Amino acid sequence: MKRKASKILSVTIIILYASLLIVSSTSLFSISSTLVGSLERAEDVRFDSTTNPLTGVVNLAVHVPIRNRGIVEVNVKVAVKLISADGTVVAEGFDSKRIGPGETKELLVVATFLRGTVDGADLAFECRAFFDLVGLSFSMRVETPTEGYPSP
Amino acid sequence: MRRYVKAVLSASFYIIFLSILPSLSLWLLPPEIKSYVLLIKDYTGIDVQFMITVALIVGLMLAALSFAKNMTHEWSIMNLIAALLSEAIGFYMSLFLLGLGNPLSMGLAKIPINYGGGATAALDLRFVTLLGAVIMAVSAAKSVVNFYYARKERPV
Repeated sequence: MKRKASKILSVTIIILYASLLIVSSTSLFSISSTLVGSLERAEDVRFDSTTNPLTGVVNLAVHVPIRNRGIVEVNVKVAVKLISADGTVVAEGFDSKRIGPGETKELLVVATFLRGTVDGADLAFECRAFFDLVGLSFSMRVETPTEGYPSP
Repeated sequence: MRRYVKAVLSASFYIIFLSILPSLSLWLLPPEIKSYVLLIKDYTGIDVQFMITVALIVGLMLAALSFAKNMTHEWSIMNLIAALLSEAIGFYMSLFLLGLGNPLSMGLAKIPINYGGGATAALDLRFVTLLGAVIMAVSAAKSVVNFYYARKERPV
């Protein structure tokens, strides 16, 4: 009886350790590879903007190509919040995509705001793997990202 | 004799991998790289030197517990206490490492990046922490089962 119970628990421990190793190694490898693959293509990030000269409304579209060089699917999210001088959110855009190993997909973040109202931006990037259970995220505040859109 | 050799070998494992190697690797680094490693604290709040000191202390504690566990009989209460304490300390060490020096973060390490602007990185390893907790619980259960049956079968 003792041998049987002890054996079952030993096998369970081995399976759990193997799962731990597989989950952490595949997830962290895929996340870091995706991050490095995307940073290598940082120059491919495209900004398209159109301004209505009558109303002063600016349509900003940011195209972010993401390449998954890992071995498991990753879920990538990019979010942009445009902030006015008093700290209120003027506009926000968000996109997320599931990217399989070896695939490259483009995330598109669109934001519409009035010219001259934006004073800074909160940028967020999140990459999760293994059923979204393991993840790495970055967030940063950028001051005056809308250079070229001066107050009227 | 065999028991003594096993106890010394298992204790040496913890001393080498947790106490000696991390301290030695920081000590052997070239001065310019060492200064970069120590600068990580200023930019991210991650204190590498403190983490190595904690690893050294935990390594010594685990070595002592492993030695005590291997030197005592399975039916001894000391054996059970040493096994359970080893599991708890091992789990604390994994929480400490996954939280990048903050075991209370429970696997969600938030790293403020001080470069002049306000940036934050977050490493979410809560699922890995949960798996670690399950492993600790199953290992503790195994120790209790072994102790229980060893006591039952103990020759009087």
